[in-house]
Amino acid sequence: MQPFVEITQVKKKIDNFHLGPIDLTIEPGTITSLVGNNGSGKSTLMKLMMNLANSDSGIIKLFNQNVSGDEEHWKSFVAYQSQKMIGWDAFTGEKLKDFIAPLYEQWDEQLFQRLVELFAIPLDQRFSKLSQGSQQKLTLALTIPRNTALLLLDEPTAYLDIPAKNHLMDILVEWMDQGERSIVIASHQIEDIKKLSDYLFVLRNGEMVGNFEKEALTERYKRYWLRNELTESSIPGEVFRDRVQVVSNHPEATEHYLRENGLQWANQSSLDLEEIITFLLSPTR
Amino acid sequence: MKEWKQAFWLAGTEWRNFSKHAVFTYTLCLLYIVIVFGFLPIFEGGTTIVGDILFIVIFLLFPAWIKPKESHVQKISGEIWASPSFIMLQQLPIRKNVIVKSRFIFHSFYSFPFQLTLLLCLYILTPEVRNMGFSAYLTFVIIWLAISIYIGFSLPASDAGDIINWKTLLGSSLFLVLLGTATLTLFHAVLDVGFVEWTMLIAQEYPLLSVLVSIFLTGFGFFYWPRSLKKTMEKLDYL
Repeated sequence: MQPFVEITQVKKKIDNFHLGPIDLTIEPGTITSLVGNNGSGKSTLMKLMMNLANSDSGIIKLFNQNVSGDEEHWKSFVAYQSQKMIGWDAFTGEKLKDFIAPLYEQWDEQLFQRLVELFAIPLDQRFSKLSQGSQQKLTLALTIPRNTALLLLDEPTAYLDIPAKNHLMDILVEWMDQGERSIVIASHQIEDIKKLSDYLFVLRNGEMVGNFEKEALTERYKRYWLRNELTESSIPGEVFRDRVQVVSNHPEATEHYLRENGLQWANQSSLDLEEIITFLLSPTR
Repeated sequence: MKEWKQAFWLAGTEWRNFSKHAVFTYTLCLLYIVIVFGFLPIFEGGTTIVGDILFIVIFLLFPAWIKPKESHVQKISGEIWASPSFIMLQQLPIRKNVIVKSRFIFHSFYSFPFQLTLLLCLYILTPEVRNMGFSAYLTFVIIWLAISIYIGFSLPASDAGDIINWKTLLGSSLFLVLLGTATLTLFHAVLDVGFVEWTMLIAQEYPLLSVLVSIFLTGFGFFYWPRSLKKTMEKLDYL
């Protein structure tokens, strides 16, 4: 099946910040988390995907259409929730729904009503009068029921309370089960990433670190506690070392080296995803 | 046709959300018009520069002021200034051509009723306009409605925004003030008539030519401003 998103060698320069070159493919039926430190270009990448900004080079194709081309049919297959909803302030939730829902053929009114009830969203209040959390809940209630094949969510849980976060996770999982759909989610929330993601697309200060399958990534990192202190020489796969401890992203090569050099380890363990992300985002490690 | 239909629907839905605000500001402006044209002798003995400025500002800029805040160009982020309503539409599955059309329709929902009322008030309140005769008055109305398009449509065309910092803001403001002052001064100094008064004169003396030129310039406005808006929206990075 044709990928929903194909990003090839995309670059963007904004003042002193350089994004890319980015290569990313989003297949149907997958959830990809955009992971990176603050200002690493996650939101910019989403805006480039939505053609809200022009890339300096490279091609972004959504549903096999170049987003910067004349053909704009791809827009009807994408629902985008930005970090800050601009232009919504003067509308009530009800009016926003009346404005947005008719634009989407597959709008799911039942799901919208369910989300409104679940999140206790006051639809009669102006968007600007709602708390940040309620604004985010309303935004999600007006984004997910669009039922487009691709959902782009930029920091969807930043202001949500714990029950709302849990409800959202369940709804997104349920939503994914209903057809050939994909989600791209930019998030700093490790719980979102752990629970939802199939893939982690990692950006470090605009530079693409890689697109990793989550399970493979967690299996790839190992920590070894050695019986003796480490020598000066570097170990294959080593990404971090302490006195008697070494973290590797190539366990097989590391273990082979340790055996070859008669270095015994007392224990070994897998790393938590949060630690792995920290290693990936740390330029010194 | 489908694009126009959707553009009307978008502009209408947006307008209905702000209808209370529109009625309130529209009434305020009407009161202002009655006070200015009913009690101030703007057209007595020909228009002065101040009278010209007052009329042009009311005619062209009031429709923008009575529009809701969300449709005004404002700072979005960094140096990007644009209309929040425009940004909202861009994030929805709406073709660029439809967005462009809807911005001009939305502006027209405010400008044309207001400007027609203003021109009607002018006929009722000022003897100088009434004395032109009805057919010359109709030509005068066509001239000004055309101005509302080939100059006034620059306002919705600016919805797409621009990169603005204090230097560009100061520079463009100065340029517009100087251009306006120079044009009006030129009329007063060279032709010895005010600009508004001049449009009244040509409406009386060259009605057919005035209407033809107005139609031509209206066509230009319809052609140029939507393209300018679309070009800006394709060029600008809304980051």
